[in-house]
Amino acid sequence: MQNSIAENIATFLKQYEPFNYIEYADLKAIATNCSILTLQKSKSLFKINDELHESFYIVYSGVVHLTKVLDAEEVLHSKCYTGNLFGLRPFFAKNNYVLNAVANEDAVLYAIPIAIFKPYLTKYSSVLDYFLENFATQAKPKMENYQQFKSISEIDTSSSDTNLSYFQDLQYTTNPTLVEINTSIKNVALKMIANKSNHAIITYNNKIAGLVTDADFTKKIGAGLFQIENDVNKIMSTNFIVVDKSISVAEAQLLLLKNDTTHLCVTEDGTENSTILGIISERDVINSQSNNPGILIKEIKSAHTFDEIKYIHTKYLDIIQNSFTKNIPIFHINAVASEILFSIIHKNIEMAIDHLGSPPARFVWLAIGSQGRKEQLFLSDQDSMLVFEDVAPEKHRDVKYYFVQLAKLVVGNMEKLGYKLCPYDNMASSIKWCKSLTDYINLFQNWMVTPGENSTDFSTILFDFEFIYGEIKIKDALESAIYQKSKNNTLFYDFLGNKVLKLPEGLTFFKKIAIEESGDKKDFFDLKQKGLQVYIDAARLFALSHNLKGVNNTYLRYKQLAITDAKNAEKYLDFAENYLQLQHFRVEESIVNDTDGAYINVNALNKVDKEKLKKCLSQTDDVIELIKDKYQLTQFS
Amino acid sequence: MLQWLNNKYPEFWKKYISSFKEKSDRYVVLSIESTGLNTSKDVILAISAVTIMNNRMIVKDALELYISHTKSEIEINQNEFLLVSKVAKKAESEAIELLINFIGNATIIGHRVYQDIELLNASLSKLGCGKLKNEALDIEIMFNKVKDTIDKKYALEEMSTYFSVPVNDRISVADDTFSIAILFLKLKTILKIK
Repeated sequence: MQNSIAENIATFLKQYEPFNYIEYADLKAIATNCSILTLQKSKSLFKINDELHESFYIVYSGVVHLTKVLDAEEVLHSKCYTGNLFGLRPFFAKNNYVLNAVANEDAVLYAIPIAIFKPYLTKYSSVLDYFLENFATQAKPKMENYQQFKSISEIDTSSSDTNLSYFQDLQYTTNPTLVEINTSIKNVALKMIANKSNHAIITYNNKIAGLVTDADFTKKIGAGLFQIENDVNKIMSTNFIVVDKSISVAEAQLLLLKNDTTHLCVTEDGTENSTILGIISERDVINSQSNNPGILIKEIKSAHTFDEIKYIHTKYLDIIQNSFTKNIPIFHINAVASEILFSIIHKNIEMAIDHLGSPPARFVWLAIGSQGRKEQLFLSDQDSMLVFEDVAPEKHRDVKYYFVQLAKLVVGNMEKLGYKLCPYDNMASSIKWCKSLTDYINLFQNWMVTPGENSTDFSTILFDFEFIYGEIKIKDALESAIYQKSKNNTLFYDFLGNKVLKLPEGLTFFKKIAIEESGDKKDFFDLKQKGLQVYIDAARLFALSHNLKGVNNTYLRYKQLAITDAKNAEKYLDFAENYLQLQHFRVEESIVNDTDGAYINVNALNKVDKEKLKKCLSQTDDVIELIKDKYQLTQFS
Repeated sequence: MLQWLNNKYPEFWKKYISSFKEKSDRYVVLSIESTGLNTSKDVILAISAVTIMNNRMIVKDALELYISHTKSEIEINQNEFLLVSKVAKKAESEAIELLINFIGNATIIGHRVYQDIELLNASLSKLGCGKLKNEALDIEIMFNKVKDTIDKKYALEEMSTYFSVPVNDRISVADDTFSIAILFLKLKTILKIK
């Protein structure tokens, strides 16, 4: 009989890996046998150590978070969105679940019985490959979505970027090259080449007798000490290090350094008399830290295609998420994350230039707004500008055309990574923000000398720019032009100061947190406008008036101000802390709920956090007082 | 006396009546497409139903029926726009019998379910059966309870958007059944119905 529901499910599944490998008729059979369940927000589907369910799950709508417990705290492991699989553990293990599955938004899930699905694994080898690829712990996931990879394999790659990683178990090579003791040196070399390995374990009665590495060949054969027809025991080193299979990264690293060796042999119980399990090379130790930001930047630099960048980018988001959940100070995360993001943009620009041919003039790509302030920790909108050197008037049109095309490519790629386009079009791809140096200087001077007039395009974020790519001298020229005009420009300070005063207040008259009263964000608190913005705008104003060049980060600006303007030092330091606290709220919101964090749900905060938020908001009064004190806000109010 | 009355009923109806001796923890989500709501004139065109057990929609346990009507029965629906459908259709009596067997003693779930039940009762009386005996839950009423409103009309889409369930472009009754089932599962947990 006809079953439209099953057909709809099959059509849905067909869009996602690995179901797209399966033929429709079979998919329909799978769909017919599945069941559908809903999961209310913050309800869990299974918990750590729960018995395995008889089915695995696919998200139809909503978001499911997989979490685990680390140091008695629940830590986010990965997020599953529409079309993502999870709970596949019963396929490859018999023990109980090792993760919690909790709905972060009301979710609808399809449960597919494992008994039904198993036959298709054998029927479709590509499906099996897909699973194996994702279960294999050391294979680099090929797919774009790192989260999906993590949710399937349940591998913990997250801890590698903190100290904790040093105590995690090391993944080692489990298929070492083994040769009998009486093999000739030549044959050993041939076998090593065939296995593409740089080592060979020499065995005698299946026990380790010695170890040969590339170094032995260069030292002993290359130098002519032995002939290649000799038995391998002539050149093997017998003072190898044997370790237990559950060695941690830290231990391995120490042993390698201490013994000045490149390999460690792994046996069942850590003595040379038991079965050989594998070998640890220096490479394995490095691999175990592949999520380290430094290595990520290296990967970005050596990336060739946009897909690679996309993959690295998901890893980057993961690093932020993990560092945040592990309570690393937000200021450090800001610093690391913006470096990585800058190199991603840098690479994007490089690729765009490769595509379009070399630029007709020197130029500089500047990040503005939160990116320029090095505060972009989430997928908020992108802001950028492009400045090119002055060219002959007759060439100007072509040059500008080239740069707008270039910017469009870059901005488009960034959009594909998840950075929304700026709603006000403050992007280099718009003709307004892709100009020659003189045009920009004139524009800025216009704004600063006669503020309030001709200011249709005026946006304060344009004053927070950070170098990303190109000719740094152009940026310096622009910067010094701005600071020249801003010196003792009370009119301009007045203008900026009034802008701060006009921002909505975070607390109501009765000192309650001012939540939205209407609209689709009703009952949420507009953290961006009512909290962060005052601190950001004020910091910019102070920095301009105190001539602080080259510091864009709001936190650093306050820190710097505390030094230059010593009599208000205490206030500045307070502001700096408050700002970080507010940003903490924002990042938390954005990580947990995949939003840009502009609005937070005050009711979800606990009492301590609520008080913290209130304190930060009440201090905006101090900021405004200080502005009123310092500048004469008469002209524009 | 009662026994004698009972004997006049068709076999399937007797079986249906006797199934109520036991209680059921099964829910059946029902969605009916008809020519209108007037029980004396209008007829059922399509029926879709799916089972919910243990808080899960069981896709395998579903029913989808399209009913053919002879010309004399239905006159409102004859116009030049009517196309010949390729869906396999059943006679009304056969379809109703299948449905009654499917529902059994389960609780019926629907959107404005009283209309569906009235239509079904009308069809049943044509076959010489009694009225449906099942308990029924209406998701619109449940939704009113959640929203704290009284007797307000809510369309399926409206409720789906409220619970941020993706709304598929409704093509058939089965799509409605799917939406109703998901909404019911959500409402059930919110209102803590066992």
